[in-house]
Amino acid sequence: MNNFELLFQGFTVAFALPNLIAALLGGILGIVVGAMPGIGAVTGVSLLLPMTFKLNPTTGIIMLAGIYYGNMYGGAYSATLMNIPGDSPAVMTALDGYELTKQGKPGKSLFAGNIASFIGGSIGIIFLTIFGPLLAEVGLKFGPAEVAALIFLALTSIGWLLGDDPVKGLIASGIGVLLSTIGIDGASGLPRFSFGNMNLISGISFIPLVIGMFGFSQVMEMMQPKSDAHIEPVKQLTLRESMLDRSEMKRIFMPSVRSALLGNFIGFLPGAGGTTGSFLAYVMEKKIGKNRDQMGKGAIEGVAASEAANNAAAVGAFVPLLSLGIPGSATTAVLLGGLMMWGLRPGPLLFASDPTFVWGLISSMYIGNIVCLIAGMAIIPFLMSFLKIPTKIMAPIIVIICIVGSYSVNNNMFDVWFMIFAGIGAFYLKKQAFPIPPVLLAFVLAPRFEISVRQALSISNGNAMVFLQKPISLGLLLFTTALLLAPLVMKLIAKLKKSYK
Amino acid sequence: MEILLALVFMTVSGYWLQQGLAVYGFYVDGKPGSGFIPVLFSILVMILSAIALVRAVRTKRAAPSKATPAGDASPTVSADIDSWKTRLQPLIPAAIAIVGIYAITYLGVVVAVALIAFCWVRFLSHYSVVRSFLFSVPIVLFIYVVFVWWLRVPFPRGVFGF
Repeated sequence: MNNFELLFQGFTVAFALPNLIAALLGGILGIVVGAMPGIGAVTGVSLLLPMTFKLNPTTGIIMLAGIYYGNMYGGAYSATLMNIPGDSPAVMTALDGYELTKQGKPGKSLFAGNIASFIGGSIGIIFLTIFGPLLAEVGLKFGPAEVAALIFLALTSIGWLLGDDPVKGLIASGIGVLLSTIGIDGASGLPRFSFGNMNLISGISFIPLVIGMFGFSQVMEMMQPKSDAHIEPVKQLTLRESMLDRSEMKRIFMPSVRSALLGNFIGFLPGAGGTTGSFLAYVMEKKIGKNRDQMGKGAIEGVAASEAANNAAAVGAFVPLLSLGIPGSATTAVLLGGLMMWGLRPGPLLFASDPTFVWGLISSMYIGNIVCLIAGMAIIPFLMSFLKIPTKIMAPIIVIICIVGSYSVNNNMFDVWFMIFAGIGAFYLKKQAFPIPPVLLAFVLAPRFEISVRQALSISNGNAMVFLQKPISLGLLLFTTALLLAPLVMKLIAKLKKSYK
Repeated sequence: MEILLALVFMTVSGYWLQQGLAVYGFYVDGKPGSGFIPVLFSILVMILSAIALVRAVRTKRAAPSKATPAGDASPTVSADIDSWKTRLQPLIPAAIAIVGIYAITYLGVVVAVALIAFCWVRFLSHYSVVRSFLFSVPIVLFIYVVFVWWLRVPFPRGVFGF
């Protein structure tokens, strides 16, 4: 069967009533959670993850995927209306979105954001349909050495890409790897670093770690004396005054398409994600866009560029996740954890071993994207009242969900203690500008990296040259080295240029 | 704080290095042992933490020291108290979550969630008793319906038996 036949078959899975409801509910929940200032996609997905336990794997992941891209739609709401981005990719949306709000056109901005998100999401899903299986075929040629080199690339690039400071980013990745070594060693079956604690023998539970690092630390940030103060009252909006006319639709179409293509490509890269995508798309639009002079002063092209790239990157991150088992962002790392929890192993074999699941998920994204567009438009007036919930009400709700959600993973209070510990640790790390997503991505990737490295070395009788003898792994390692050296070389060139002048 | 974090990372990675080498083994019978990856990454974290430490110390030395105005003690004292308040405020959720763990164990999840929601909104967010009560009821209902009724999570029953 070719991809389109499989996709068609996937639609029969996606159109099954429970899956349809899951996509709808996930999309709406995602938009609502994403619209809440400061919560964001990764916190939203991790807080809602325990609620999918009862569902079957396909339905559960369809719902989580719905929450994920619904979040990308929702992030623009608070950015546009209150100048508070719901998540980091929406930062660029706020630049023009809030200006439009100040000009009395918040509805136009939200509408443009929704249309652009739809275009970005659609392009992303089409690319996922085409390139996902192709990449999986390439992935089948990967042995332990190639897999190890690929994950090493991911581990080093996430550290660089997710923070301003490469040293801190790499320390965060290293900490994630060390945390992953707690528990049973996958290769020998012996327990390690359990500190004599029974609860640590099977390793650190993924969900309490995620809930703590993203949900609980978020509440700790909310408790800092700030926020709420600069939230301005939002006037009531109607759908009619939010509609874009024909010329406005024309203005946003091309910026959305080119930003989506750029964002989608960035989404393929491990760790790059929506934030980098929306930032680069915005910069591109500012350089080549027709209305570039108005960017930052309330141009709908700015909102469209940021939102299209953001959504395309979000879907693009599914390509390496499903075909290679490498998460492209922190949120897809949470989804990877969810897949593993249900006994699914993302990677090249997933397309062959579980086509019903993979194509059901991809098909549900087509439906989910339309659902999010309609829901995004329809709930504009409803969201106005939801966005007014102050942080002093949000904080206790999140803390309660953190406690109950962590407990429900293993029905064990140790997980709640660990969640609190992870939250405090993440809070102080964030305060010192250590990026948190690399910790999580490394924690998820490291067990596979360790097994691959040890398998490669065992096969070659301990000869480390095995990584350089295989062309794919050599190429990946050279690319990693170039990535690591690039900032130093750039600095050196800049210095030489300065001294020459 | 940055210096402290760098020192913590160096200590933790030092422990991982020692255990990886001495207990789990870096190379066993010509093949990588259980300590292989922990040793490699602990060395990496140690080196990077040392770089972070040196940078933090240099930055601290380069920063101009804050002079205390002579004969004006009270504003400094109140500023110190404010600074401690600011530092401790983010830890309130942790304290409440710890109380929550014991409350769930001894009182059961329904009563514990109701108490946390009510007390937080009443005493930390300074809402009226009625509004705090009205806020806590839907939260308890949501937790009960999703986690107890739908997911059937076996929470401790507590003294009230629910």
